[in-house]
Amino acid sequence: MQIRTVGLYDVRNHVATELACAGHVNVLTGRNGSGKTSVLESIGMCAIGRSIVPVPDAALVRHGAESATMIVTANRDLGAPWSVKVTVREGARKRIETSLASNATVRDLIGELPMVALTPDHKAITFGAPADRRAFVDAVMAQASTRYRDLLYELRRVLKQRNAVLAMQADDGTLTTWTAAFTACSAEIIVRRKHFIAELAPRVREAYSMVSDGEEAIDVCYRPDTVPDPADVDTVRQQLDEAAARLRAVELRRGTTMFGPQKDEVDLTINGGLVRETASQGQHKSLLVALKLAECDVLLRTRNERPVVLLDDVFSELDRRRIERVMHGVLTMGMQCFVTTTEGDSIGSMVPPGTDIRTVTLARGQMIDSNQQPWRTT
Amino acid sequence: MSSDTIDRVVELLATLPTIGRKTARRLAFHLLRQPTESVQAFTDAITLMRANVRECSVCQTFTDREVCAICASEQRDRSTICVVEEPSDVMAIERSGDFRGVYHVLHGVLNPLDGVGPDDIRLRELMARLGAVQELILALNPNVEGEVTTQYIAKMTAPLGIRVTRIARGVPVGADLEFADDATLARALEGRVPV
Ligand SMILES: [Zn+2]
Repeated sequence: MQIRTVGLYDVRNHVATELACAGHVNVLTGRNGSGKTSVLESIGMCAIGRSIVPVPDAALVRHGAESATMIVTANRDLGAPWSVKVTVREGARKRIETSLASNATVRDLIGELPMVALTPDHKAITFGAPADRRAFVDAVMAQASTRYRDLLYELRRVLKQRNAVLAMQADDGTLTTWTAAFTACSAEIIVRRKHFIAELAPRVREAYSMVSDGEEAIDVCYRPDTVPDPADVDTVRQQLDEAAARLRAVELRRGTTMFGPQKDEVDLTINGGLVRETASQGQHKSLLVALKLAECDVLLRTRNERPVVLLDDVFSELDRRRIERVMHGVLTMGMQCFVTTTEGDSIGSMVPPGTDIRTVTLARGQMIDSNQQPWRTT
Repeated sequence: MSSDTIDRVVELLATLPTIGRKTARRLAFHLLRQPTESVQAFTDAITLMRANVRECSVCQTFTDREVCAICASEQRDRSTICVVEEPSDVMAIERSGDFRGVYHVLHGVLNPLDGVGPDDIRLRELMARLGAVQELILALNPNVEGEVTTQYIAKMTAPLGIRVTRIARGVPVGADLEFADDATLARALEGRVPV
């Protein structure tokens, strides 16, 4: 996928900003508060239906404006045009229009414009709780597979409904049926996660050795709840049904579901130890970058579409050497990327001559300077 | 402009599904510009509808009579019951013109989050009708709640030895039955599968 234009209308401090994008690298510079991250947030909104920063949608609406509108126009790798327009307003559902549908949902959007983002918040993937790593895996898988995306929506809904039955602390006769629906989609999710992580792990190892100079042994391990060693969907489902029968009385007493893929964990290990316990700061950084490069690779393969890469404020987190290797990895895979930085000219000196690069300088939500190919002269 | 009576009408109109405040205001002003008689006819029709329309004592769909026209008809095959969520689904399937059996309207599906359990939809009435029935076609919406309700009914009726089928997945997932086009619905009924 290649984004041609990004439009921000009443988004944060942008009144109306329209960017024509370079095919390879788009550098957004400016001080803090200049509105450079808003461009990445808008791309995120058009790709996965939410900002790359964890904020409520309404936070994107410019102060004093009624609604915020974000428009991305792009070309698929096979040439077909793709466009998305998202409008958010306080207290209303966001409105999504695409080339295919005038009234689309976030669910319709996910996977159409594959996207990989790296922001300071993503530190949580290696540092945070098991739930953060599960969320990472789920987000990648949802973009990679429409079936998995649908299963996640189904799981969330069935789990809420089943918990509502359990919360009555008495079976109204429907618990068995809700449980069957729950174990059916859970089993498929578990088996898909197992296969996905088995495919992801070698790619993370490969990317890690490219990013770091170390010889550390890296692994990504799936630790499913209830079913320690998942086989096929039918067997897993049977095991989950057995767990449900075993836990029935306790679940009714506590009024909530006590097993299932919403409790799964994903561990990252380095030389056999848990990353969050034993890794150095540098190893954390290399691993995060490796995970993101592996994510690019997985999306590229499964979607047959080059994802767009968003790097938000990477200089505050990563050293020059690691950023160079990220850029190298991204450009080698032929992917378009958007980088925000306060250090305008650093990126330009990292990319090979001939790279289609554009730098846009922003101040208070306005473009104050943009030049097409400043580094080609090297 | 300030009028408590207009405000009250706008407030009430805005409680209708899909009607926002803006539309409610537009509707209120539209009504104000109509002749008194046509507004009267409008409100009379609504009052009359509310007073006369009730649920058919057999299939529970909306009707003006004790028993609805479909249930009363000699032309319909009473050994096949098509189970739907809402009266509007009956109209949708009738429009497709291919179904000769009778209906049963649940007036909802299992939805514990909204406090809807098996006693809150017309399941007891359905069970009471199954004596001479040979086939039960479950035509609920293809979402989590419709799916679970389908499975629940299949389980409940299993001991009775009735053929239980569901409409084929020709209905787009996530779409309401009510909005499926006639041809799609006809195909879905034709290609029904055992639950
Ligand atoms: Zn009737």
